[in-house]
Amino acid sequence: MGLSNTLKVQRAILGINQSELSNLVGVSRQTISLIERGDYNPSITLVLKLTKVFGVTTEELFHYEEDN
Amino acid sequence: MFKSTKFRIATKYALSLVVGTILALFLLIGNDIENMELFINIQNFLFNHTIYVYFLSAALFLLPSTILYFAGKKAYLKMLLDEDDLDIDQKKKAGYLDTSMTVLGVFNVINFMQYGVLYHKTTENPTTILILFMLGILFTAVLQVSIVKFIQKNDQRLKGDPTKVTFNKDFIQSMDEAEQLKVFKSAYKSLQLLKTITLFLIVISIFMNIVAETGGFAIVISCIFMIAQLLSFTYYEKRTI
Repeated sequence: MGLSNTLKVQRAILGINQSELSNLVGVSRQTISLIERGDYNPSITLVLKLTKVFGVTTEELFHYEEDN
Repeated sequence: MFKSTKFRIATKYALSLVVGTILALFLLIGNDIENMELFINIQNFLFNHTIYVYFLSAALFLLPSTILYFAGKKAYLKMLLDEDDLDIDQKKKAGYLDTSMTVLGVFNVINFMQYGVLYHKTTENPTTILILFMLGILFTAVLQVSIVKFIQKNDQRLKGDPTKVTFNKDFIQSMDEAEQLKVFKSAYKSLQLLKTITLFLIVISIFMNIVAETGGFAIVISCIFMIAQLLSFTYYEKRTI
């Protein structure tokens, strides 16, 4: 399964779009889209930035499952 | 594990032996290729119609790149204004700008190749050809700079002056982590492909030297290029943390 995230949900709670989130964390909108789709695993720096913006813990935002 | 590796090595050597034998037989039997006249005729035709070759290459490359530039700009702006999640189709259309850059880059190389190969002592209009060559370079440069400036205007993160030598370094450093990873992955894959293509070019140039006496210069240049690829990768690998 790998790494999954609740980025889209958190965005909806906060009421911001991809573009606004990308400006807040200093990445491109395409990168936010890639992370939400699970096509890119962000670095620890970016993860911490995202948790700070949403005001949640890392575990609430990203979830890792071992492949069986 | 080693059994299958040995088998693959043995198979590749056997295949190379077969291909080499066929090529050697071909060279022994058909050393005086009558079809070389065809190549000479094509060359003479191109020498006598150089200006038309320039216009044809401009139509084949500059026209599509210009169309892609305007289409890409339109799609990029639409993508920026759209507040919804990124639409894959929109993203692909915005990628027309990248495609336009690539086409321009290819045309630039072909422009140099045309000038270098087709310039001849007996060329009828050397000044016109030189002007067309310079115009081609100018057009490419202007359009490429326009594309970069447009992207930078709409994405303030991306830095670098396209007219400066340090542009590539500045631009990549200003990219975010996902963009950088994409660039590095693509660069590595293209390096691997280039090694195969360069080897192929070395073989072709050796073959052409034997058959058509094209000279050793192409062989030397191809080999130098391959050595440069290998050494540069090792050098940067050792320098990079």
